[in-house]
Amino acid sequence: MECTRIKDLLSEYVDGMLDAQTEARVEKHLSTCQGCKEELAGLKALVKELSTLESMEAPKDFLDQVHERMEPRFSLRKVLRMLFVPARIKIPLELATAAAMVVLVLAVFHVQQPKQRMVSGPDVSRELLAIGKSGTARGKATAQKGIVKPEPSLEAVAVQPLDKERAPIELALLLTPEVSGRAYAPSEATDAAPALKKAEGETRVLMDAAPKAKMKMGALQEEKRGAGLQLREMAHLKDETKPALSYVDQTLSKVRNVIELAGGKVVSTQRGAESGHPRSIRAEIPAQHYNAFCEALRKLGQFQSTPPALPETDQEVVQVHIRLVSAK
Amino acid sequence: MSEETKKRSTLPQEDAALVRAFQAGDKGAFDRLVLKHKDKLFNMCYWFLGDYEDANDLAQETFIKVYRSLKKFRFQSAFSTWLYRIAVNTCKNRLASSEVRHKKKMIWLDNPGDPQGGDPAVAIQDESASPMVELERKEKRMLIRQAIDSLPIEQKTVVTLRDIEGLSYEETSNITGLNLGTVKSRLARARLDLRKKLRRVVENGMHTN
Repeated sequence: MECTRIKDLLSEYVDGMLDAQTEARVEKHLSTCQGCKEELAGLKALVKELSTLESMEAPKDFLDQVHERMEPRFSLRKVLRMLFVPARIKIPLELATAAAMVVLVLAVFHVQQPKQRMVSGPDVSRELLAIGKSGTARGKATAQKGIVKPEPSLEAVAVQPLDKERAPIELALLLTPEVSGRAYAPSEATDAAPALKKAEGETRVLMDAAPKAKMKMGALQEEKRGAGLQLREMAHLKDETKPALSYVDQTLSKVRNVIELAGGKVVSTQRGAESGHPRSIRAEIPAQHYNAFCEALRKLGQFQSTPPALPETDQEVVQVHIRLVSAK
Repeated sequence: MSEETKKRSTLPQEDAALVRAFQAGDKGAFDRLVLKHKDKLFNMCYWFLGDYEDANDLAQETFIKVYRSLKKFRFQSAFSTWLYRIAVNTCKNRLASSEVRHKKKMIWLDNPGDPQGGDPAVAIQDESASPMVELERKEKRMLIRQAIDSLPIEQKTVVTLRDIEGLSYEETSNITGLNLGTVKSRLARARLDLRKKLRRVVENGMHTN
């Protein structure tokens, strides 16, 4: 019985972990018990054997292997290094890429938005500003800009690529009682229609593909809108052909009709402050129809001076300002 | 190798200084800690797992875990205690995985005579020994390893830390989280079991010596 207890204590006894009293008891027993003495010897041999086992050493490149395995932890740093080092080469490259992306995004945006643009703008910023505004307000803004802006010199016209900024062609239509006093006859106003229709057909075929795509799309948009306006203007004309209208008003209606037939559109109408009679009309006419348009106007009244020829530019739309001058 | 030299020669103060240096931004301090502890830790992993490659893998994994946590080390225990605790848990998890158990079984079936004969470190150390002595040493080593491997994991843990690594009872208790009494009883049981299994090896050595 005592041997069993002593054997349980031998492990601690070997390591010197017993308190003095227990240790003395073990030693006393060992001095008289051969079996426990042998047990102790075997245990000591085992402990010695285990403690003198050859130590295994880590591989020589152990530290390198640890670093290699830790490397994926710093993948963000690696990516940053890959992106920005050397900075003098990679940062300009990335800026150029970013700039290219911006241009690309704007170009895509521009192509996808033409339906929202009632009037084609001359530049990207204006178009972006125009989105969401009504076409009429837009047109007025354009016209007002045209008024405020001083007439550019010929050189300026040649340099300026966009016709919206140019000053309108001034036309003064002298209204004589004989001509303007006649009852409104749509057939007269549409005398020039066949020629205009023909010219319009040619325009569609011959429309220059060279100018910027946006200009072309803008012009087509204007044509569509022009068609819509035409219906509205025609409805409006019915009201204006009432007998009560003055001959100036009637002429105004005719002029509007001619503008619509020429594929153009009325931008604004100015009336006299006192009389309320129409004084002038601002309009946009397709350049190809300009001559036919002048011919049609000539049937409504007399030009104070011969309409100026179109300047030789690639403009597709001509701004005209038609003053209605009553003959005394 | 004497028991004294087996005990860790590093002073806890040195480790603490290196940890503080690392925490202050000196990344090289971690390398110095690795170089200082790698062999002891590797040895423990080897006897725990019984495979050189597994030991290398887990010793590296232990240091990687240490690196990731070292900033948060609060000196509530000695660095070496913390290091061994991580290693023991990592090894226990590995042993618990069915993958390792399966692999070990395959090795034993393929080459039951000498499953660890190809250890490079041992081969270098044994170059000077005569073929017969080397063979005896290898055989003894194999038998001891088999006996340790056969121990339950709890007993294997304490016997590895105390008898192979030469750590004190208190350190073993701190690393394993067991109270001192449990460490003593588990160690006594492990030794008793090993002695039964290694009686021939140990008694032969005892008689020859």
